Amino acid sequence: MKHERDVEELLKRFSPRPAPLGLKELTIQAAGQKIRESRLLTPGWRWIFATSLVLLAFSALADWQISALEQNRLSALLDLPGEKALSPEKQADKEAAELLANLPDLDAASKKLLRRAFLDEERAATQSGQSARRFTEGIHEY
Amino acid sequence: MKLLDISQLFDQFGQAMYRYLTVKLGSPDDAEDALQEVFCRLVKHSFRLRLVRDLRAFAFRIARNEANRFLQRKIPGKQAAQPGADFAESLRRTYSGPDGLSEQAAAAALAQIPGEQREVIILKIFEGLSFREIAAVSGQSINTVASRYRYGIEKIRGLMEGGE
Repeated sequence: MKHERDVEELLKRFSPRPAPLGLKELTIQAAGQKIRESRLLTPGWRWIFATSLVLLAFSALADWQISALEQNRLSALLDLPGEKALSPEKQADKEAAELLANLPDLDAASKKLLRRAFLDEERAATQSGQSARRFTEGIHEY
Repeated sequence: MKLLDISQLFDQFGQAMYRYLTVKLGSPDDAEDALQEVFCRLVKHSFRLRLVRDLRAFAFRIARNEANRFLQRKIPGKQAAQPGADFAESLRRTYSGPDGLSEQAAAAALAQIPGEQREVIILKIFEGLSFREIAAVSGQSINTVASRYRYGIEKIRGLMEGGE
């Protein structure tokens, strides 16, 4: 044990020699250089990446705007319920008027009954969200 | 991490890590290269440094991993094994003994003991790390590290007395 202590004491008397001059500056400089080199996005690529992102956002926005516009135009063309959709009452009145124009001899009670049937149908279609089906089928008939 | 932080980190551990790397790699030039890599890693993991309890053990662990990577690149397929002759020379270049004779004898004895024991002795005696810190650096238990230290010292004693 005593010898063991002696060995430890001997080794503890060793002292570190000074490191080479400029080691700190060299190490920090080289580490900084390596980090800059290993960066995935160099300044040039960073600009390209940013420009691509802006273009992508712009095209997504434009696509959304064009789609919305096209949708509105199609809705208007097909008379589908959109922002300007008629209320069920007005729609029923319109349809009843179209039909009654071809039936001038119909009595008042039947006219009222017919209008009532149209209104019920229109309301049911509005509630179930199927009001467009009839028009679509109508288009396909042509 | 700012440049100032790296500078402070170097002031704290840079020289000690350089000595450790020089002895482990057996070449001051290799130690400089490895030290640069160590600082690259420290900067890359700078967000972790705030969470580290023992910064010295963490820094030495990175240095040890880098030294092992360096040696594996140099000697593919071999675990970080230090050639004895290079070690004695690099030890004398890094640390100075009380006198030439004992310096030579201790360096020669240290060169002949197993690498794991030598590493523990260097970190414990020359760099002043605790067994707990050495355990964190090497990824071993404290008991294992203490045993390696004890066996290493015994072997050095035997070698210096000419018994083994």
